[in-house]
Amino acid sequence: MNIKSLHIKVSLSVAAGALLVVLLSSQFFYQRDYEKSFAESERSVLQLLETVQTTASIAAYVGNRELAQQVVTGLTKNDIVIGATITASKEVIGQDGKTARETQQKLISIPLVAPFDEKEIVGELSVIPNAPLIALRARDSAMSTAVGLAAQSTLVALLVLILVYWLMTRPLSTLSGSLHRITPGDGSRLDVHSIHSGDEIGLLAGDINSLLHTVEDMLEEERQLRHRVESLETRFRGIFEDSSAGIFLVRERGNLVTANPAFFRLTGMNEQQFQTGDEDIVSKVFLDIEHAKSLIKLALVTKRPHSADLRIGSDTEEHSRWVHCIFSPAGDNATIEGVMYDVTQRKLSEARIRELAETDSLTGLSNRQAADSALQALITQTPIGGKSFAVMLIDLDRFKYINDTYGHDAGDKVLVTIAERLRKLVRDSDVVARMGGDEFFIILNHAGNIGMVTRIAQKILDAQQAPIEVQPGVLEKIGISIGIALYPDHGDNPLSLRKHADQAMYAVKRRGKNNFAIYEPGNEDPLMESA
Amino acid sequence: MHKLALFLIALMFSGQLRADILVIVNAHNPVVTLEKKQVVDLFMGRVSAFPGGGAAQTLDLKTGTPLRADFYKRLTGKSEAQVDAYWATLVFAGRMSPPKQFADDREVIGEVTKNKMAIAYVARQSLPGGVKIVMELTQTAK
Repeated sequence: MNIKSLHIKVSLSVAAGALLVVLLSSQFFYQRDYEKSFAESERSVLQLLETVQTTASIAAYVGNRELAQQVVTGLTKNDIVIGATITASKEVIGQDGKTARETQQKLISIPLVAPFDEKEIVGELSVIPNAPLIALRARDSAMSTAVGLAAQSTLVALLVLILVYWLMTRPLSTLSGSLHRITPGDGSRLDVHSIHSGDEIGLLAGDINSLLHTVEDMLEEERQLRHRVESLETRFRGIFEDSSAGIFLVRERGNLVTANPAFFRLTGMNEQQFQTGDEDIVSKVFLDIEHAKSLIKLALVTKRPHSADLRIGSDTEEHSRWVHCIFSPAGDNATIEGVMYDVTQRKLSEARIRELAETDSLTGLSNRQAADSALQALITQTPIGGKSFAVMLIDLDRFKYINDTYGHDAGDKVLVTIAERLRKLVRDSDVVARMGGDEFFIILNHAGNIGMVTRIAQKILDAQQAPIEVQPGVLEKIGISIGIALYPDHGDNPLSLRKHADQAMYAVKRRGKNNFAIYEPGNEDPLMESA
Repeated sequence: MHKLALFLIALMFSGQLRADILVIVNAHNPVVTLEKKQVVDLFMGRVSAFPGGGAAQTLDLKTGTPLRADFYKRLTGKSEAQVDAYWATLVFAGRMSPPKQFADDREVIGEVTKNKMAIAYVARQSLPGGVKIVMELTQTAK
């Protein structure tokens, strides 16, 4: 049994209280009863004396020893008297039992008056009370009173204890026990006996039950809400997980918060490897790191989504992919939600279309538009005073003759062959274009000085010494005329550069063809000529 | 009125009944007068001698005589029955005896005349020369 249980506490309190009451009241009543009993005994002795007073008075009055002796003998027959004496005129006329001198005890005395004159005192009647007996009786009486009282108190305490146990502590502990066993939400209620209806225990149980009811309602509401939230979450998670678009959350610095499987599929990254962490995933995923980061910053600053087509994956053309990526600020000021979907196919188609648009279909070289935009782009990128480059305008010398003599197929073959030769003679980064008809255009990106340009031009001329089989068994040697202009010395815009290259080329044509010339400012005729 | 008359008559009779009582001794007795207390002590048996030292013998009337009750009442304040009980107590204890009883005044006076130790009580009357009065119990002396 629990030492702190209410029942034990109440029991101990009642027992302690009862014990205290018993002790105090027993003490008090013992004392009182003892005194009372003692006084009663003394009064009894006095009454005894009064009974024999008349006779004793007569004996004393007449000095009759026989009568006096009869009186004292009669007195000592009482067990509360152990000695009696009658004196008359200082003389003992009757004595029985112990004397005062023997017992050293207090005497109880009454004066004896004359029978016929109450004013005259004729003697004295003294008795020695049986003090031990009186005390014993008083003790007995007091003790029985005290014991009775103690028994009564104990009985009352016991009764109170039992009643308190039955009416309060037991129902309370039952209540407490059943409340302890109840888990809110299991629907069980406290059951209280009908005798407690209306009292505090009944009220308590009722209040607890209504509290349980309220709690259960709230729990049920909570459960339903949680269920709704869970199903919503499942749905959203489904959208998130099953989406073909890669969805991801990153911090401002590029570290990943979360991402869906599509993100890892698209980026080819290992999901395990990129759990949330400090690693800058943006730098790993995107090839155009700066572009991606600037979009993120923009989205954060403007608090609006920003999107772009970005390349992801490895640096090599065949493994990289294009994604359209939308960066949107996500809630707080430091998180960005990214959505990316694969646009590689579209990008490839676009590239294909652009390629088609920029390519000469016969030779596979760039066409005029591509050459124009490439030149424009190069000029834009190259500031005045920066590096210089050269452009060449090339015209075939006897193309009309070939066309007219051997037909268009032969002409086409000549054009294709020349194109192949030109492409082979310059770097990959140089632009080689067919401007239309038999006119070609070359942008030499890195040809910074005249010496270098001259060497390349000579190489191109030399390459044309090899004859071309225009028809089976028919070989023709095709000469070319090359006009050269240098940027920025001979022009700082496409038009002027082309025009000056054209002038240089016509100068070659005029002088006998199959040669090259570099434009010379202020002189319509070319400065240099080569045989 | 009627009641008042009856009361006065009763008072008259009572005065007649309650005449003075005389305590007498032999004329030769040296005692001249006695105090009431001395008379009480003699008649109640406490002392058996006169103050002068002469032995005393108390004479009493027969129980039931009106004068006897009147005498004890006036002397001790006790009734005749109480006085008899007193004597009974003493007689039962032994060695004591009540005064000798006589039939009437005449016998008493005769005895006192003869007995020099005698002391007795009689109603007020003219007395012979052989006795003398030592105390009077008057009506007022209750």
